[in-house]
Amino acid sequence: MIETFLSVGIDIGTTTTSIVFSKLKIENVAAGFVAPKIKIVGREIIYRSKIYFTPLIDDRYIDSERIKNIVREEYARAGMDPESIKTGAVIMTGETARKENAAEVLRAISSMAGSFVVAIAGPHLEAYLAGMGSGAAFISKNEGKTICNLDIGGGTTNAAIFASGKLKSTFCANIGGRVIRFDGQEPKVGGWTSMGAAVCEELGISLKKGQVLAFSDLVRIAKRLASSLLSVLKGNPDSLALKAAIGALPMKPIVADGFAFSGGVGKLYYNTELDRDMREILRYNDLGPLLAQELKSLEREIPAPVIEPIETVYATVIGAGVHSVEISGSTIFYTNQHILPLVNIPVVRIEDPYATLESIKGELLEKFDRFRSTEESNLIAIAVPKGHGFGFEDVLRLAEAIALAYKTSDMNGPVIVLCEDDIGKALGTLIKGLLGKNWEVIVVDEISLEEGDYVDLGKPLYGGTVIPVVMKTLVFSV
Amino acid sequence: MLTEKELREIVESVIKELSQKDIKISTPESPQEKEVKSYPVSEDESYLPDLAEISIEEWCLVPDPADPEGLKRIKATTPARIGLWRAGPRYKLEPWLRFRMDLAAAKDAVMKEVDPKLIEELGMFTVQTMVRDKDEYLTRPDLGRRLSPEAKEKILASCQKSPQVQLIVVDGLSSTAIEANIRDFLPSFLHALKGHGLSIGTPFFIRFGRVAVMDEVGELLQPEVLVELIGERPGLVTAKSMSAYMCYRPNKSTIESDRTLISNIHDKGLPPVEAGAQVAAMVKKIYDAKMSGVKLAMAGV
Repeated sequence: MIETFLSVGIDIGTTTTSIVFSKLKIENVAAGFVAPKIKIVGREIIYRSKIYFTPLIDDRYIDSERIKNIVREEYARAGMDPESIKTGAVIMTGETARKENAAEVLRAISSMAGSFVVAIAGPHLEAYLAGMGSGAAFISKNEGKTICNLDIGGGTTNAAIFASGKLKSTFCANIGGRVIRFDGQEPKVGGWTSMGAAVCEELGISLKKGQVLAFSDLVRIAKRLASSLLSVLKGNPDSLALKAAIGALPMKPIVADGFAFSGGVGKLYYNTELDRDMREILRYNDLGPLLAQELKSLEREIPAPVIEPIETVYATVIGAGVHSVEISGSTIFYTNQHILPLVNIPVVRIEDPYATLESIKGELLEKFDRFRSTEESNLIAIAVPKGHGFGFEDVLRLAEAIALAYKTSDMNGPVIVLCEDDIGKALGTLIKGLLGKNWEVIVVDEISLEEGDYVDLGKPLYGGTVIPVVMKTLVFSV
Repeated sequence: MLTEKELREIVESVIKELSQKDIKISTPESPQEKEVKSYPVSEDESYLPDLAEISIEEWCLVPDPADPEGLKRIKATTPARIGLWRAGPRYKLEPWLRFRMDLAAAKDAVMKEVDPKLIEELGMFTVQTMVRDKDEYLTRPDLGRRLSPEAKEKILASCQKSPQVQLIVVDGLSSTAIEANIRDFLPSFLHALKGHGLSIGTPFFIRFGRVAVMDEVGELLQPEVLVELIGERPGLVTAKSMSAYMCYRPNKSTIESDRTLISNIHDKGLPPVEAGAQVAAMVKKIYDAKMSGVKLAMAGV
């Protein structure tokens, strides 16, 4: 039996906003007479919106109403009803995520888009999703290669390195095609980001609103941005790159079999012709085409061959809509599906699942306290790391430690546990038995998360057998 | 004649070549060798590595593979004996010994008896089918489906009648499977069953049993749902796999399609502790739907 459900992705980026709808297929892939194994067996894009400029009120505020209108219009054009959308994600990226009303807009759009359409922000998560959406991860898996996907948008470059399809690391920098934008194509300066200011300061180019920049200066700026990005790929980030860094940058040359570009600048990279016609080059009122052109001219210095991914400008939105959702293991436990979906649950991770009852309980109590001092809600998910086989005694001890931790603290649940091993149903049954009938308990398995990550849990699918999960992993080593 | 400079260059290049070879030999941490485990036999002949500890999914013996990463990925998907290379047309020594070992484990699983102490520890009593010994068990499947007269008497005398759930444990074709899984399965199953509000009758052990022996037990005790744990026919991958057959009111007219089955219960399949909870959930479903097997699956409950 194949079950299909609809998923939406909405990307609100520095320069552009776009929407895709996709159809995800899940099926029990286990042979007959064994426990079910429900997997996502198909991810098909069924509708792409056009690419809109992200509507802004000014440099500080996103135009929430106009974004809502775009969403409404595109839903209508695609013939989609938010009621029928089972999962999905709204991702806010680059400079847009730094606007003062960003969080509010993100919440508003995700709640109007469907019941389990979650909000995603953060450059490292975007890097991962863009690499999934561009197809770089697929190419890496298919060919057993290491591929570095560079998603270059208006405000940021988000890079993800995949080895045989598995994410190895991410890094991000404030390098993009719209660090300076123009009013009209003269080119009259309309605004800039802190990175735009930094590059101009270094080059001795003065930036004033309304001022017309010389074309030669634009080329110098684009060249400088491109060489700065190249220095990062070579593992030797220059002064400008260090200013642009979001988190750590790699300090060794990137070892990869290929580099792929996605995002708006990525699309231009593969279509760029060495074009010096000013009107053509400033058609987006920013530096995007010039940056692509300058990067292209440095292609021979990039440490590995440049390959063309499957998707470029739609990579992030496809990542958000098509690849953000995973499916839990198929033998799970929940007391009540009506408390789902639950979103943005912070994760704490048990260090050693074989430790004594007292030590696991103590660890959890301490982590509960620490988290509640920083988080608004007292919803927490407990991650149980992979073990080397769990016997009944091991599972019972874990259940007792978790139940006791909840009873001792003044947390009232729901108790949410995420296991890496296939022990969800057994553990959930035991926890529920220990806590008694007033407690809600959800235990899902075959999910791997780290301390400090966040997770979203949707309503059960496939006759209640599995639940959709969005894992928001934050910690990526360079 | 060579000049001193030329001589020096030759010596240097030889040293360089030698030292490079050296590096390759002396650092097992070089990426290729690290990724493809080779489990070398020790030079010391008094020592042989424990072949049972080798995971076949990680065991690559192909010398100098063109794509070690690719081989590793393919190997990880199957416990089949591929990529183990050969000596002439035969297996190499270690894979051959490992094959003999797995075959011996499979034979042992069939021929051995479940340890009576384990049955005692679980608080169960033992009854026997019409079969008298292992040889007859293997040659007469029909007798393994019928209880001996003494067995029937003992069951009627010792067990609760018409329970909601009846559990029987049967050796089947792998005693090893019962020994390996029952300790983790049982407490998890009993706990989960209680959580579903179902009560259980008197569990017991059947020696020399086949799956359909449950039909005779069903006639005797009239349970709503019967759960039979039985050792699966072992193979070269595992000898420890256990099945749970479930049936709504089994009786002498029960046919195979009336039974619901969860198989592949072992540490590398469905872990026994998780299977306990999963089987209990399935029992609850059967109890509520008042049907099992294909009928239940088709009803899509």
